[in-house]
Amino acid sequence: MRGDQEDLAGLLSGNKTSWDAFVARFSGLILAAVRRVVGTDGIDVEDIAQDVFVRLCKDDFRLLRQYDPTRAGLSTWLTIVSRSVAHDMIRRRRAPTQPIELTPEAAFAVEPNITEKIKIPDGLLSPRQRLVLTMIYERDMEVAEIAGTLHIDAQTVRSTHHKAMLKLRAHFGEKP
Amino acid sequence: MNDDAPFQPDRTLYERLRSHESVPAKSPLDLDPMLLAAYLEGRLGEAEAAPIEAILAADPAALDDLIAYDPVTPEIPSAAFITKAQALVGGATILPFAPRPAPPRRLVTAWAAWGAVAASLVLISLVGFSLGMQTERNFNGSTGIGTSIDILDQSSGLGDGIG
Repeated sequence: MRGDQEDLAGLLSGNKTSWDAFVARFSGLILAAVRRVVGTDGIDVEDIAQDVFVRLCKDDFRLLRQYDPTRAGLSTWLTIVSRSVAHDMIRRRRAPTQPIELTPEAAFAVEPNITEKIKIPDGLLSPRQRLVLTMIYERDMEVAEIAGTLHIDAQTVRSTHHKAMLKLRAHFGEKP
Repeated sequence: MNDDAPFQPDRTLYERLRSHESVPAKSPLDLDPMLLAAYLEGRLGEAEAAPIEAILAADPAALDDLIAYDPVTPEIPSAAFITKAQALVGGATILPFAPRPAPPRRLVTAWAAWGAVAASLVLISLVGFSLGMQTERNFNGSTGIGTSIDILDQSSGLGDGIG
């Protein structure tokens, strides 16, 4: 972490040697993170990875300046940024290129991106309680798996679930 | 799974509450990467994590992404890839296109050029004139016009009184 901070200080001051070292150190990680998203989609992974570097140094390292070493590791942050750039690129390349005259009028109708929602009043459950219920009942995930994903212990998952169900029963008039 | 067994009655209740009400889903791409990175490393408390967990609970795609997330193993990049990325900083700067301003008119140089042309013309004229004069002088010398009396027939008497 300390090394990251020193490297970043040099980088953000425009030191070419620091940039070169940064690129050499994180190119492999960025390529792998992009490939994880793109898969075998036929999109050039190297092009997207280069775009990640462009975004990092653009406008006097504006994006890179948003990284806070006290909050997360540089590798994790770069992985998130790389995945985000890759998702963005995939979305753009999948945009329809059919001429507008050939597109049926119905295609222009605005349809909301919909998802199923539990009919639970807002604020009744905390986001974590709602998430734990979703993971248990909609994804059939095991407690240990949920605990690992959310970086909490298994007992916390169980107690979160228990409290959420108590609230639901109380709200909908069920006996515990 | 054994852990699921105690949840079975709750599952029934939960599924009874399920509706198919449609709501717009928020995009996980709208999340701050710094916040998400801290979340993935388990550094956020429940209160700080709330905005992320609200999206995860509402958006199946975002939840899929979280579940599938794991640290990647870095690849070995090609030298060409590294060189290209390194050139983004401190390399040749590509300036945006801007029309080049017109250079100021160089009056002195223009005058000098015209002066040189005029001087050349004068010089050529002088040389020509000089050569012409010389030629004429030579011509007169060889024909002896000045002493044309010499070529006259002495017997004719036409030159009498001239010399």
